[in-house]
Amino acid sequence: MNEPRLDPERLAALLDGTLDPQAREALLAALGDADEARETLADAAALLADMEAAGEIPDDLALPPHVRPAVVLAAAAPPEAGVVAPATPPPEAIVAPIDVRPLPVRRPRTRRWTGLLAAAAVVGAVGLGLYQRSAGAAFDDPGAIVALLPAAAAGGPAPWSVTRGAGAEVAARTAAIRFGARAVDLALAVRGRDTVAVQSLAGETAALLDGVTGAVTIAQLYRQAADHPAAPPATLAPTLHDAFTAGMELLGEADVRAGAWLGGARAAAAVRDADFFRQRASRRQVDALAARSDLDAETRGAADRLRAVSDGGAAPDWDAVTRDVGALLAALGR
Amino acid sequence: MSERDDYEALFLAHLPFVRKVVARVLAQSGLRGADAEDAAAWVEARLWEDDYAILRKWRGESKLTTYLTVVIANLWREFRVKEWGRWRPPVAALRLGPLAVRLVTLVHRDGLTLAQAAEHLRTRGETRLSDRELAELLARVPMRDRPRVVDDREVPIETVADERGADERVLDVETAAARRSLHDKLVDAIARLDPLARVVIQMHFLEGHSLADVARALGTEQRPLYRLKDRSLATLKGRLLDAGVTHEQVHDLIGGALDGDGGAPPDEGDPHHPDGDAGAQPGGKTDDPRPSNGSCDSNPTDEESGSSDSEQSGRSDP
Repeated sequence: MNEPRLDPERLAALLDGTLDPQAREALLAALGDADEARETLADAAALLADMEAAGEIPDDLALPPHVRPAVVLAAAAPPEAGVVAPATPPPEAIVAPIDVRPLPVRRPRTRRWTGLLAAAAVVGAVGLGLYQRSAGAAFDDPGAIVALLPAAAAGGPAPWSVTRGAGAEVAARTAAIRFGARAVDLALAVRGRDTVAVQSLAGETAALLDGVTGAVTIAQLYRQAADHPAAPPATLAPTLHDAFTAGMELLGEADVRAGAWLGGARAAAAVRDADFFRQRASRRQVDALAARSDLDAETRGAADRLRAVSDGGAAPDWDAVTRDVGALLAALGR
Repeated sequence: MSERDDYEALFLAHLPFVRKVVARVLAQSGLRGADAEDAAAWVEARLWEDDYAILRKWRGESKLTTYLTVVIANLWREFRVKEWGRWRPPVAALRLGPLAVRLVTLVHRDGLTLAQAAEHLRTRGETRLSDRELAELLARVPMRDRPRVVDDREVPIETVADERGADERVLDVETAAARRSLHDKLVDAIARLDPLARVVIQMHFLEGHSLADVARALGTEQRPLYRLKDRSLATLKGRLLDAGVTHEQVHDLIGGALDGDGGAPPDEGDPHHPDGDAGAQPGGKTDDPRPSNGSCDSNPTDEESGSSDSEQSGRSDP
């Protein structure tokens, strides 16, 4: 079918409601005969609706100096006598298609050596990723921590209750520990599609951040998650990752990472997952915990016992592990 | 900085947004792993190649984020056509209503599993039907091909109750040529609607998009579209009757919830309709055995997509 291919920007202007009545009428008339354009328009509308609901549409960014689209130029230029600058392009622009060429199914691999280089780069990247993960980077992301846990952990222990209490003034380090632990609980809830828990945990995390200077934007991200608890994990996870990363930078990486590990350890203990504790990243994290100067003798003992678990050897006493993780969380997160 | 540097800066500033859009597109595509990565990389490459030609075509008529979203949706549509061919929902789905069209599209065009499609529809508020009910609805649309993706975790379509008896009776009495002729008359009648009504009916009834998405697409309020839709359906009915189509055939094509179709007059129908009148749905029958999705009607903002006429309170067949 030879149908008109409509200008994408006209479709975008229709979505934004910025077309004048005549242009809108002309576009609607053209749309009636343009199945492909309607399909694009509907897909774009659905995408925008979902992204607006998730708060993923950024505000307009300032344009660099050389980026001067026609409408901006027309608005900025003083009108010449007797000349009316067109606010919209001429009608023929409606049928001016964007240059969409046939699509390659795969990216072209033109030369063998290019492929070899790419393979080497991939191997290098994977190796680096594994190294970073083993060195502790896994605890920079609650989603990565949750990925280390078995599926059964999704229905694990009730969320850590010490973080409840919106508005309570807490020390920055305490807030960081709570934030890290809560982020893992939240990631588990997202993975388990527990919308009630997602709503509750995201809201509590936002409330926790309300008491932290400079965390307004981050708290807002968690509120957005709380407002859309049924959003698919593929939607929630990037938002929560961004929020966690920003929170970690604000609150302090070491403390947030410690809290996140403790949150993961708590879930792992609940499902008796020794593998979690024996990850190299876990061992490093336990070492870091044991080296903290703000532990009393009792909690230092707990950290030492967890270090023994992460070193392997005898089968863990899971009741003791649960108690020790809880003791550390309570000591650092109160 | 050169002009090229500025466009590069503009591209990089919007790259996080672009990636979010692409991630959403891919999440609905059924593509996974390396295929999804290839598709994402290809979309990004299209945006920066030829010295950011696509960005340079932006005239500022729309927000740049909206423009980029349309461009990506357009690229993805082209990708779909290239990979899987052009898609048109089967007439059998049209008879069952927008929800059936949407469901069949998600499963057979986009390659989602039934469970994924069901979750997608429920998350977006387009239905509250369970997986099993949606499987029953899907099973009522005969398709020559299998869905692109088959997930053994979902309710197998073959195991749901076979409720095709009514369909088969209809198919028995209609030859393929007659059905095609009827459909052509419907398309012709739609083509003679005014531009806005035509696009609304095409997008909602023929292509299965929710009225919420149609309203968003056309940059208009959702509420007036309900009245426009109802008026347009009444117009369509009149034109089809004028063209020699029988009441029964009209009913089969565009539903029995039309005004003057033996049911309640406007504003006395479905109390959940934003304007108090029932949203006409195509293809419904009083004895329609398809699963009830009356729960969809409980939300005034819901589309009642795919709901049968038998679910429209106060309505009856002629």
